[in-house]
Amino acid sequence: MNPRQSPALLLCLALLGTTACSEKPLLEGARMERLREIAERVEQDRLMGLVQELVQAHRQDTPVDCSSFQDLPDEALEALCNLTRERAGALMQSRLESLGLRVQRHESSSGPFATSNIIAELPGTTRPWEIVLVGAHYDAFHAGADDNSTGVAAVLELARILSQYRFERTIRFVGFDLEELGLVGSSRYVEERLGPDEIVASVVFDCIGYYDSAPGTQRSIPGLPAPSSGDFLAVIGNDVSRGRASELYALNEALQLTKVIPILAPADGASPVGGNLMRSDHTPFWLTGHDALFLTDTANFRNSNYHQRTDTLETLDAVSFRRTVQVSAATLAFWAGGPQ
Amino acid sequence: MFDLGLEYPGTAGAPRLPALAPPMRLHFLRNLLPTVMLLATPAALAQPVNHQLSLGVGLLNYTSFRRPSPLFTVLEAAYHLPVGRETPWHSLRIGGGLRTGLPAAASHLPLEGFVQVQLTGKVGPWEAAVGPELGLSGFGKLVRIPLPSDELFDMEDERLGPAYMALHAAPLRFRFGWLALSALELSIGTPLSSPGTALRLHLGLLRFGVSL
Repeated sequence: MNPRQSPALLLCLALLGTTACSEKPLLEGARMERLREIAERVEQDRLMGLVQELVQAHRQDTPVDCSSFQDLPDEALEALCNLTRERAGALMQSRLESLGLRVQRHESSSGPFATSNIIAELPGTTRPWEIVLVGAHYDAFHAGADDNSTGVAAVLELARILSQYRFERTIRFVGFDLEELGLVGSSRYVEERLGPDEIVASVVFDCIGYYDSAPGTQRSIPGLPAPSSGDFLAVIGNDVSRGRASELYALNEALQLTKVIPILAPADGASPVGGNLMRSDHTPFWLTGHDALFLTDTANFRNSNYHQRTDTLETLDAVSFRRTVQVSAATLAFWAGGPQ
Repeated sequence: MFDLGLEYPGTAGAPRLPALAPPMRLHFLRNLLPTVMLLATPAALAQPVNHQLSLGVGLLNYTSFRRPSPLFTVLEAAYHLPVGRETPWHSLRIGGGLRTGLPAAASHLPLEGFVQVQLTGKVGPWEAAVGPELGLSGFGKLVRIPLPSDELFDMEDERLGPAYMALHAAPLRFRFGWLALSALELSIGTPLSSPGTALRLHLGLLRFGVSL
């Protein structure tokens, strides 16, 4: 929790997004069946296997040099001195390449830390200049099972499944670097690599594997009343992406996959009381007017292992994790104008 | 998910706008009020009141979506005049002024200028005022923390332009003839360049005014 945010003000300004959700069926007939087919191709064992490999990669990696942070408090330093990224990034790149996707590195050294985002594309057939982006950061503190090996595993599983189809729009799979140091990779990506209008929809995963249906396991984001059970997927959008949030919600309802709670921040999402909704790689997209959704299990508002050594594979809920990736698969396929 | 739980330099521990509580200041206030009452003689109370000059001290802070500014202590000089004494607009007054403050090094420029329109209501010596304020401020500078995240901070800083709008309220404003005293004024505002992105809070601790 960020103690700098005021719960009372957030209550006044932030909006639960349920009112934005469409009542009428989004899709019917054959296309919905194709989307259902795509969703069903998400494999739980494969997802958990990817998380395990990523966790292993983080554990075997050499942490980034934290000597420049020695003035920070011990708690922050403990996490910063256990931040790894190289091996997980290499694993992500090799898996994307093995799918036959064109993979690039977006290297940037404009600050004290060089960053290397991983970008793979599945070219669109009729509107390849229109991009549907799905991303997750691949750096992690400690083992980083939930934060954010689950996000990276989701991107890789989606790349595996979606690359077996063709879509009207290009689907771009992105691994963001150094999110944990302040959204560094995604900020540089938006500043240096994005054209003004090419993103038609995007989704960012950050912590999507921790669920608990026991009462009292979910803490409210200050000002935003939440169910007491931490068994839902939070879909966080702003005014720009409220339509996409509605579509994801409607597809999930139609496919009956998981429990989704949309949360919509007013305007572009940037407000003095909305900081907790802006803590991942969707934020640079929001700040530059791009359409972006943030999918999360709410991290530290539910998961006591957040940024701790105990963020391990055993704490994850594989069934709910798979459902989250399933609804993402169907939604991305729908946005991309397919499958064909 | 990004959150190292860091406190920002100059903001650790204390609430944004700490309460007026130093013992010395309270002692000062206790002695000040009787003094003002003595100065407000019946002759002075009968004097017509026109233009007003005032000096005030307060606290100023900006809060954006990720970072706040430091808490500035500001000194203000202002000038107000009534719009029309015998007209339907007799409860309105307009004015403006300048503020400067500390820590100067934490600001773009330790200066801001403002204009105000105030609607006043008077019951005996109590004369509360409320109204909009527009200004240009050099205090809208957010703190930086030692992380390699300049790009995100730059995006946040770009939204914090110098022009601002605010709603100003002076609920504890009293006038004793030619002398005016006000405490705990509050101004809540936002940058005009990107309304709603940041919150600007100005707490006026104490103000003395004289009518000319």
